[in-house]
Amino acid sequence: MIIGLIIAEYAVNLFFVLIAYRIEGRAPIFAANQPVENMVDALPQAVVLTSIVIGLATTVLLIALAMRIYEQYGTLDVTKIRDLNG
Amino acid sequence: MREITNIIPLFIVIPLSAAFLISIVGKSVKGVPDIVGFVATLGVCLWSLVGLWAVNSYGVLVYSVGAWKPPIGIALVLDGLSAFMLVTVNLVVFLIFLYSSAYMERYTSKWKFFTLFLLMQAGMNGVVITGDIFNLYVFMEIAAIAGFALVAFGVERHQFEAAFKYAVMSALGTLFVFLGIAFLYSFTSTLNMADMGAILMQKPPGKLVLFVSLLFVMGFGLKAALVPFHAWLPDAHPSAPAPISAMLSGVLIKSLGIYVLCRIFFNVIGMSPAVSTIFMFLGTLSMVIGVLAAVGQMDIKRLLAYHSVSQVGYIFLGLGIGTPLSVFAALFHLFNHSVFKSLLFLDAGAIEYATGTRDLQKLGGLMKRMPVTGATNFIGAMAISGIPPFSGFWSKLLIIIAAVVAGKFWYAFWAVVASLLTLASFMKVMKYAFWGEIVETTADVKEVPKVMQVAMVALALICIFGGGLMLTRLNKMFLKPAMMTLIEGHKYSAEVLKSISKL
Repeated sequence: MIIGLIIAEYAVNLFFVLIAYRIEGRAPIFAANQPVENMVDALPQAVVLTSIVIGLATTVLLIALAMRIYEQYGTLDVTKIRDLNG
Repeated sequence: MREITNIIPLFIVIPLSAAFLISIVGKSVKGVPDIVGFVATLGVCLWSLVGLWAVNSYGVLVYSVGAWKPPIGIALVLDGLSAFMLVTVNLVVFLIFLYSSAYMERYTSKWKFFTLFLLMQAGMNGVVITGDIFNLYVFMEIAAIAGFALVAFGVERHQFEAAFKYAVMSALGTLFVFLGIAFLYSFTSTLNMADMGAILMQKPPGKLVLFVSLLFVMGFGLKAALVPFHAWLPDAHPSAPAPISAMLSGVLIKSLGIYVLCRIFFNVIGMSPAVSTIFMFLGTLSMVIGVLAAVGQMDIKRLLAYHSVSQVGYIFLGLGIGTPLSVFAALFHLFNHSVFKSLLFLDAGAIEYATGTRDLQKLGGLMKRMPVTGATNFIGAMAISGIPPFSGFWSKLLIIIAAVVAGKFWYAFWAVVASLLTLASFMKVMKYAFWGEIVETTADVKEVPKVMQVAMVALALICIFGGGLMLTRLNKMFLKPAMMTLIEGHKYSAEVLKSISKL
């Protein structure tokens, strides 16, 4: 479950970065006197960086929870962890 | 004009810095967590009233973070709707804090609890106040992650299970939201919500906007526990410690779910007939299914959790109808629900605190042993079932009238039915827990500590006098500006952009 979530999250991150791609674009780093030309959009890169960090926090918490669940239930099988039925 | 915008970031800074302070010194110095937390929550609560005043006298206020000019930099926007939400959230949070400072004595490491509590408050305030859609996403995650940890705070097996379920579903919802943001960004090339609204208005409506709308309904609907996405709520809310149940039900699902949906659909994307039909339909579905599931419950907190689903349905019904009256009623109901649902959860917590059980069948005759809890619970129950003159009556009545005026008779009919079932299920709580004979488990219980009583009585008083918000003078200050923000839709963009150009 956790791995599936991580994969989906990375897919969305990659999607966001690719939105910003311009054909034959270059990294958005320029010297002071250089003309600004044909660069990839820099904003999504910053956004995705933040999103990766948030994803990390969520993942760490999920794994910590999963470990405690394993301690208490003795299994990671979601079909057997059914104390609650929401 | 310039100086007054400096009040805006404090809504995030105060709880955030208090959280850090507590996490640093809280372990070694006893008593600091309570004092710092008390001062911070009280401060933010009063500060939100200042914010309300500022919006009423100056109009929409914009603060640009780090002096980068929006739409490039991040903007914090304080308008009628934000000010309304801030007052609601921070008032309830302050009272819950009072309650939890006594309630949490029995748990170990109280300071960790307060750190997470204040982080959650900072996250919610951030969501409400930001004017940047990605910034909103970040704050939403701060509040949500603090929420997962708090649900698991009791470290028992079903609490981990509930927290895990909540975390997975919430992470999935977040993914939908993020994908939606990606599409919107590629369509409009901006992340600022006001700018985005202005650009979307000029573009022809296409399939993409509809797709993004659906992604947002799924993502934020999950946070707001609308019916097809509500499965986490009845597990997570009862498993958390009582003050956190009150926080989750009372304010978290509202600021993360309902507020954001309002803001995005009314102000940025614009309400389309399709979306308002979805709102009305899902709202009614939540209303009926939530209350039907609640009637059969024997666990007090589980019963209350299902009622949250049901009451959120009322709010969405009101928003979906979309006439000024119905939106007004929906916001009014949002405020009322925050108050009475927090109150009911705190009462349930008080019962658990005193007797050690939440099972209705094991309780009885508590009215004689715990008069304050009994009385406040009665007031809360009357308010949520919509009995006059308590606050819930007025807002439900307005929603039903609005539905009839708009010609949606079936929706109005279901709203009445759900309200009657709500009354039935709360009569059950009163009968089992408070009236009747004293049984073995309740033989030698005592009333809960004074501080907890103060919080409950304060919330009960707001329930009784909540109807007073309909008076024109209060109404003009508090609910009207929030309603106008939503009704006037695209004016939001114009107002915010005007304030930005003045910076």
